[in-house]
Amino acid sequence: MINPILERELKTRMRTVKTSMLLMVYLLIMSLIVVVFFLTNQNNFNPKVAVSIYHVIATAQFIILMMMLPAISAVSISGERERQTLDLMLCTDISPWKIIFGKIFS
Amino acid sequence: MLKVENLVKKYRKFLAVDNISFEVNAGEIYGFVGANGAGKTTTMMIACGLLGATSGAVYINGVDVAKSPRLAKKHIGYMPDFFGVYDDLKVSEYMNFYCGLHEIPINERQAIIDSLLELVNLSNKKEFYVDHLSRGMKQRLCLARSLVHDPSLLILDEPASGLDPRARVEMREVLMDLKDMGKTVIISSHILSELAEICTSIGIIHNGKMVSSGSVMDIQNQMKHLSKIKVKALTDVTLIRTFLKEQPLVSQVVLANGLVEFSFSGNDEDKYMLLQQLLENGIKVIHFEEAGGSLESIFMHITEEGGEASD
Repeated sequence: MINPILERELKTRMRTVKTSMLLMVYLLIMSLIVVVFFLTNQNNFNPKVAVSIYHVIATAQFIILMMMLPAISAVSISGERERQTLDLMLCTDISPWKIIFGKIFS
Repeated sequence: MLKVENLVKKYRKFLAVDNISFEVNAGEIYGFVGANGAGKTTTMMIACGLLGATSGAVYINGVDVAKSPRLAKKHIGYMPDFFGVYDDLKVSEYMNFYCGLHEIPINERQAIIDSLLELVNLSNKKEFYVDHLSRGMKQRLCLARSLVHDPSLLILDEPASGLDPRARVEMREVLMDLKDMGKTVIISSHILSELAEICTSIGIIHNGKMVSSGSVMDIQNQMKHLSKIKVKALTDVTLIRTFLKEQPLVSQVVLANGLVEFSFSGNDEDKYMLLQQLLENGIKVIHFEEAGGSLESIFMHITEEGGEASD
């Protein structure tokens, strides 16, 4: 059974145009970095370049993830508190850990 | 079903709940009455396990809420005095979300959601976004949400607040249905007349203390010395009002439809004396009627600043 909080977050977030636009912009930036990388090394194509691009992008994404993840999850949980829905969640069978995991993975 | 024993809740020096004890039996509808800030919500939140008590205990079906909150929560359906809805979800999705939070198996959810939405008369709004529902509908949706796990005890914090008369009647009908289903309901409100119609017993809380508890009839009997009197006279009403306000046994003097209405806490002899004084002071009384001790007047008397309940 999928975590209900994760399910709800994904469902409501993916409904908005904002999310798809954000994803598109993010992917465009990433592609642009790759293209620029290849263009600067266009004289002699070296497969090692591709590997190094991969390392750079993977590391960059990991760092971004590490920085953004706690911030987004915290904001999301405090948003529940603000909307007064956190108390209602705590009244149910779901454990606080599942609430946190649902928020982190979403 | 629910037993509250010597419950105390302190916020630093402020005593929000002061040694409250009461018991609600299975199948009862218990009305919890008090002014704003009397301690109703705090007591309810402690009963739901959302707030820790300073001392005392709450037992639900014999389970101590503080010691085994998860076990106790299985028996409780809580509806706070705010909606707590997600406007960006559809009604069916919202219900499904709470089924998920209560870990109800997926194949059982649809039947539960359909029956609950039918109970609260929202079956035709299943595919509507919560945001598009009226206040009364949202309130009923919240009630349906609190029932998804089929709790035996329902704790409803001011379910009729902010609703128009029609929505109130609809909410009352749903509560009567729940009563017929054998649910135990604790309902808080400051609209006493509404509670009197549906509650089997009532507890009046004031400044964190339970000042009166028992069946509606018991409370009315306890307070039978406190009655409302209506007076009509040919004299200017403001003069009567000024005169009455000076009388020691008179309180809550109001003008209504050309009549002067007031609470009177004396016996029949005192009433006679009051009438005599009115006449002696040149007030031309043409109507002097006892309206009986309504729950409203009892509540007003009890929650009056410095007013003391007589047990």
